[in-house]
Amino acid sequence: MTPNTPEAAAWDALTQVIDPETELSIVNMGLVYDIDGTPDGLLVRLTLTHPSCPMGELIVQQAEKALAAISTPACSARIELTFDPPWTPDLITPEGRRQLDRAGD
Amino acid sequence: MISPGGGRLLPASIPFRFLAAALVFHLIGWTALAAGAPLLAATVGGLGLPLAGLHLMTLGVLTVTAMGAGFQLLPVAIQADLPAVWPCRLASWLLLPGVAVLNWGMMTADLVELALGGSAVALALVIFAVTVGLALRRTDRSKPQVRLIVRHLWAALACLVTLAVLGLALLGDFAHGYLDDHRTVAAIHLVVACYGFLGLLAAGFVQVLVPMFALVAPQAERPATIVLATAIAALIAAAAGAFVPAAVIGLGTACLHVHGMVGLMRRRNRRNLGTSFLLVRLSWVMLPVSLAVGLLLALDLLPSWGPPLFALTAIGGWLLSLVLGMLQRILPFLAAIHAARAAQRIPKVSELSTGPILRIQTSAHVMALVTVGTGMVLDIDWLIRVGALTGAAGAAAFIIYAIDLYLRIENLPRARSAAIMRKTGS
Repeated sequence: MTPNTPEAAAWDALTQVIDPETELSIVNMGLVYDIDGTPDGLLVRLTLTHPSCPMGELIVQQAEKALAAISTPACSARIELTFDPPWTPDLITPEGRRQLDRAGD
Repeated sequence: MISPGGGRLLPASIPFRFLAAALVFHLIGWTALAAGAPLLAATVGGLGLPLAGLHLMTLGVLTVTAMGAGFQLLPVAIQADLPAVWPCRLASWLLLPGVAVLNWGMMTADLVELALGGSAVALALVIFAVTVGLALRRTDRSKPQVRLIVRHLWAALACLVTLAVLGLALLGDFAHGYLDDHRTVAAIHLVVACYGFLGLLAAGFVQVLVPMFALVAPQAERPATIVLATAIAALIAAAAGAFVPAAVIGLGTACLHVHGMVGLMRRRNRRNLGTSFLLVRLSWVMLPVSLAVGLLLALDLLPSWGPPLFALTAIGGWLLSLVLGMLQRILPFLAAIHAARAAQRIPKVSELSTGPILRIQTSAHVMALVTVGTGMVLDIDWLIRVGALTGAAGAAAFIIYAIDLYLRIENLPRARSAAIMRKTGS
């Protein structure tokens, strides 16, 4: 089903961005805090598991790519990286927890 | 925008040259122990194959890995840049050949090689200490996790300088014989190297790495700081030659540290952590075991196999198990990051892991420890040799894994190009 709002499209797009270490999407990891519609377009508040996460730069790049793919001239999206509040494992979604429980190494 | 940690990564060639060298020294170290098996069970120090085998593990594997992983991951963990990249390269040019020459000198009792190798290694260690120390001065101490790691690192660097000075004094003593009690100084050097520099560095690293891999909130700052403070007290006692109080305080500290780590593992969100964490768990068992052996040794309750058994439990059982376990995890993790930079795609870490080879390596490592330890206690040379050769087989398996990992990374951009060519029909 095609998402009917730009915000929903952005959530869908970010679901495709995978954290390479845990192999969960950044949405299921709880790294996407919120997506707001602003007069300038969508504002995506994104965090990392730790401010010094070595994967951080790459995850942000992948998220930017995913958002660029759904952006239109009328509605673009930009990312704000935030550590307030800091990420905790409690933010992992129930679906993310199920995937972690199923995951083998 | 706040810069994430990936921006602090060094060129891939720097960490990987250290890690590749460590894997080769690992293989040579077990092979040297196999060759020196008849001398190992009752060694009391002095130049020869057992001393070279010991230093191939402590310097060649553990210190080289600590330096490679440290240059790469410490700036990321403490969120502060290294002052420059060239000291990392210079340290590698001094340390890697230095370790080889020093160990050859220990094997052949060649004083010139001991002097040359020892000086190169000491200089590399000083460069590492100054480079990391300058980065530590730039950290933001307002963050509890950063504060905790920074405290561990300062303590580890102080131990590094101490052990380098003691190491040079011991090497000089082989030529000039000026030390009244070479064995006691050697014992202090061993304790400061294992439990001071390497141990405190490892204790700092696990505060970041275990929560990151196990997906669990980090340990609280206060209990971890208390553990660090008691560890420093134990090290000061050992440095003063008071080995019994040092071992007692150290044993208590080790139990507290392991208790904290077990608490993290109980709360973890990621259940399956693979074979790498089997080795990490083994290391947490062997840390207090090594100190219990050390205490018995300090109380003079062990026969001639006591000192080598202590070295085996501390270096092989605790530190080597921890480093190999973490390397199994860090190598594909770092490779994924660097591969993504080259290929514009982030490969999943599991794509870069090869389960069977790592299981073989893990099994061989555990079997080697058990067999060598049994051989020492029962004074059976061939058993020590079989155990050391098993360790060498495990080391060879890890090298095969690393080569396979390198080839997978090399093939990533080509695989992507091939896919594009298929898509465009060209």
